[in-house]
Amino acid sequence: MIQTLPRGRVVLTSDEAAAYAVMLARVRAIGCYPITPQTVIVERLADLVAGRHDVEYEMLESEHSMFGYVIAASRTGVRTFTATSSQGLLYAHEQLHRASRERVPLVAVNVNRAILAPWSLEADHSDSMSQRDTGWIQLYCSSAQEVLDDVLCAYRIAETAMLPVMICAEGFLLSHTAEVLDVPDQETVDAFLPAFRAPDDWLLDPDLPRAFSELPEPKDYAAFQQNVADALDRARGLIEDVSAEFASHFGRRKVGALELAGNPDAERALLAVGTIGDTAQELLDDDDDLLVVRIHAYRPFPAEQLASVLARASYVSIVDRVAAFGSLGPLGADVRSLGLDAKAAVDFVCGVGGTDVTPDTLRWILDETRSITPQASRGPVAVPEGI
Amino acid sequence: MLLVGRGGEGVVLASQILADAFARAGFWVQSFPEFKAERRGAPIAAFLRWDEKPVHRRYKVRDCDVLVVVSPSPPSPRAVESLRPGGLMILNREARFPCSGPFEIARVPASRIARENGILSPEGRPMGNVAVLGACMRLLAPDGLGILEEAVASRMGAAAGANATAAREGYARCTRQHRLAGDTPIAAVKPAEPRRWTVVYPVSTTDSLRNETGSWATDRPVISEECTACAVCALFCPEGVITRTDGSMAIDYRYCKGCGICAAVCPIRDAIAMEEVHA
Repeated sequence: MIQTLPRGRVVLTSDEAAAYAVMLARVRAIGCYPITPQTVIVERLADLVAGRHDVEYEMLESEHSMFGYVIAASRTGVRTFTATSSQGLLYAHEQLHRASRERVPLVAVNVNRAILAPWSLEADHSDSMSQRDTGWIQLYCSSAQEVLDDVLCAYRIAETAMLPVMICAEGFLLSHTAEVLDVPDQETVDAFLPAFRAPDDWLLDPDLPRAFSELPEPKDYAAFQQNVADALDRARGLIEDVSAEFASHFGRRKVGALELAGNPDAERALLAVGTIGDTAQELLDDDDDLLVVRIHAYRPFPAEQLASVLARASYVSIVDRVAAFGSLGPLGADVRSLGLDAKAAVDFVCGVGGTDVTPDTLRWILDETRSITPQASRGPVAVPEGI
Repeated sequence: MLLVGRGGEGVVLASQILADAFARAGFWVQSFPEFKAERRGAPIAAFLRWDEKPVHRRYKVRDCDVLVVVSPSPPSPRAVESLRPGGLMILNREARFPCSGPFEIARVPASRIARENGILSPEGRPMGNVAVLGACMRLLAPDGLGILEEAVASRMGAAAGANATAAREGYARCTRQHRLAGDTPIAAVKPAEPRRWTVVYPVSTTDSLRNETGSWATDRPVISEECTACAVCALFCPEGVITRTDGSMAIDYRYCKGCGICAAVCPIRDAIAMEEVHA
């Protein structure tokens, strides 16, 4: 029996929302390999494609092969999907570079899970943030609605930019969290997301046998890499355009690179990625002097936009949910690269391995930043346990 | 709300059904589980928040207003300690729960209701999770039985009919418990045993032998007189807890998880039977 998709205001987890969005996007090739906490996505997809002959669903022997499979499938001109977490993403690392440098418009969901050692099933951003230089566009979600909406937007972004998009959602805090969201109908999605039309000179064509990614001259190799860098730079505007079009088409808010909440003129700003950016909004109920900035599009990094929204803040608290080894955390390093010398900008590490980040944790972080004299910026600061 | 129980009892599903019901009533909801490696019989928790405005708090519920115990066994001291003063504890239990604290206690014979309605796990164990939800609705939103039935219908497929009955009976057969003088106060949670060495390397901080995984078992194998001590079971036991000593087989129940592989591979009929473990 072919299953039907839910519609309208329903209660779903982010894993379920991702699976339904993939079906709404009319994906034709799905590569899978189970890993907690992503497994629910590919399980739901298995149910949804059962009995259908227009979708190929392949269980591969590893995540490395799985990404190889969707790269090859995409090259035949079909829309593809895959999902993974943690060790799975790390195991596929080599293929991630290949996907962006071959300009393959993959869409993948990475359900963020801390990495070995020791074992953990819970959320932090170490898995995907350690892949930030692979040339993928990275979007970090803070609700099940955003996961669903991002999957739909991601195909538009990927297929326009000819770059892969990784949608990141924290394990359990999103993947297994059932919440209220709105599922659009197929007609509305079809009107927003037309079929994938790959460039002819990029497609595999049996009538025109060619070698892909052959050994070029060094100057040509360098030029291909510059093309990827330029495409990522252009994707900044594209993400804003697609988000704005999504908002008007579906009639609901859609965050582009940055979500801003609170007082834009505040002296203090708090920067975070993912669910911490959502929890931080709880602080705004009794704090008029705070701007919460949630970075949704982390790659390409929205440097100019961020510099502009931080212009009035004197105290900038940067929250990394990553174990930072030997330098600042990834978000801290990126934000400090904006040249915030006149501000107190401190990088904090918390929430690693699924440890709780509560409003109290964030208040401690804000106070700590406040206690630092401007020009004496530092980090990373490990937030003590149990705040 | 904190829901606790063991893997396989439908704790996570119960939390999702209740979230679904509250969403149908117009609330914003958030429901998510906490478990380690997924396995039957292991302790499991689910968290549920609901509010008239969107829920932004995205972290685990560490102290709760309502503690729901889906298992027919008593809650752990740690779970009880998470209940805020003035909170409500809802138990899957027929007999009086003789404990007292700064909270209210209600109970519902959920496992009995499940058995009466033929709602059983693959192992034949009663699944009281939805009957417990009937009690939750009675205590939290007495007008909400209809929407709970809708949520059960939309999430339980073929099992929806019997479970809707269980929800109604849980609603009807839930009772609040009055405090009695003889009730023992809840004991404070024992502080964790001091670690034997400083944690620098990611190795387990206690002797693995002290992790008695037999506590996860919902069933356990029992060897009868038919056993010829051929030791095929010992060969297949994934935990290595079956041994042949002095011509007969012995099972170390401290570490037997009750998987039943020994009973399945045993070449002698009736030599190993799986029996339910009572809490």
